[in-house]
Amino acid sequence: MTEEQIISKLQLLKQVKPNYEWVSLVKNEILGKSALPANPIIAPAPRGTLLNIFRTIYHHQKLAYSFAVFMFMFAGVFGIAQYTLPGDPLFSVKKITEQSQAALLQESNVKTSAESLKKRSNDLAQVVKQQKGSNISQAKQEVKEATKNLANAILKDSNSAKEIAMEIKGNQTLLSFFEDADLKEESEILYKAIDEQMIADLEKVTLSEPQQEIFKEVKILFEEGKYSLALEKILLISN
Amino acid sequence: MSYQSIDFVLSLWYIIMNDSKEQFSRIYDEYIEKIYRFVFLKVDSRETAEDITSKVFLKGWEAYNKSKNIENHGSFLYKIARNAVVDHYRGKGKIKTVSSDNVPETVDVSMNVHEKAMFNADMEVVKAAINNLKKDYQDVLIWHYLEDMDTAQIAQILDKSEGTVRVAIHRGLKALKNELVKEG
Repeated sequence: MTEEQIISKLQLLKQVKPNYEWVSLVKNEILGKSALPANPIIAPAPRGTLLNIFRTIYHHQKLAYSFAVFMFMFAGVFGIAQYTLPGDPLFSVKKITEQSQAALLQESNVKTSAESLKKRSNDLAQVVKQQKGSNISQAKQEVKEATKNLANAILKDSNSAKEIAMEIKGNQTLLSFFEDADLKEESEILYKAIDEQMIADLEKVTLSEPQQEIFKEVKILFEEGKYSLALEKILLISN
Repeated sequence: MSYQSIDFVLSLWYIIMNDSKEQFSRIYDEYIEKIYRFVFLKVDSRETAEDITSKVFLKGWEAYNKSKNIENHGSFLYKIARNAVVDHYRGKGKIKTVSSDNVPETVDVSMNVHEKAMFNADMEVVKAAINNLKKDYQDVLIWHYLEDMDTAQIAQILDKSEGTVRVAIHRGLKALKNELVKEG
């Protein structure tokens, strides 16, 4: 008997194969123990399977410990981030959280932008109060961006222009910042956007004679680029 | 932290755990046939082979859950299988016997009854011959000629040098020839 003959006889044993049903049964017994389905596509929604998740965690203690540490760190980072100010390392986390919350609440873009401007002006007030000199320029930059975003949102959706105008006029902190030379340009953009929308609205309604007089002044002030004064007169008509 | 955030993290965790199961599922599919064959050729019945093989994979899954840093899954499973077969004979004081319950599950369906009988008889002869070899020779012959492993891979499983493995293959083949001549 040659070596080749022995090898070919040996390779007959490649035909030895396990029973297919037994293979499936054992696989199910081993991998089915922690009650998770084999195919994640047909897995039930995670919210409905919290019990299974905790069972799985129980069976994998090492991973459970690391998961717990991760959860604590996750919660810690988000918690700390809520108290940060522009210029702080975790401030971007705070902004992401705010954006996520706004997305979840499905609020209008104007409302979200107005809320954001309010928060950024409060941040700037805090920075000034705490005398954090190095954070001031970043805080002002944040207010500028929020102001521009609000102006753009108003141009796309005129329905909330009056409400926003009232809010701005009632927010003394914001008004004082809008007087700042650094923020003047952005505040003028915002006032202009509000004025445009409100003038367009007023043109569609019937005004009394005194109102028509004020409206003429509004248009002149708007053309002269005195948007803040124009807004004050508009609010007189609207009220 | 909002409920949505917690739910998101838990969902992520759920996916990670399922991923671990999916990975072992793939390892199972890749090695079940090989490990079963390896065990089957060393024990006296299909039931015993099934019993030992299922224990090998259960141990493998437990170990995989503790540490996913297993470099070579095949080598790892073969090591468990080797030890499981040793435990099987040692623990129960069993003597190696070759039973007639060696018919493989899959044979060529195009064969007629006579051909199948001849084929099975041939396989039983080879299996019996393998069973009479030294354990080390059995292992290297199965891995090299049935599972197409090279000497480096076998050396890794056995923690021996490639030269030692080559010698074992050569001597194993010679010993198998003697056994087949005796059987024949």
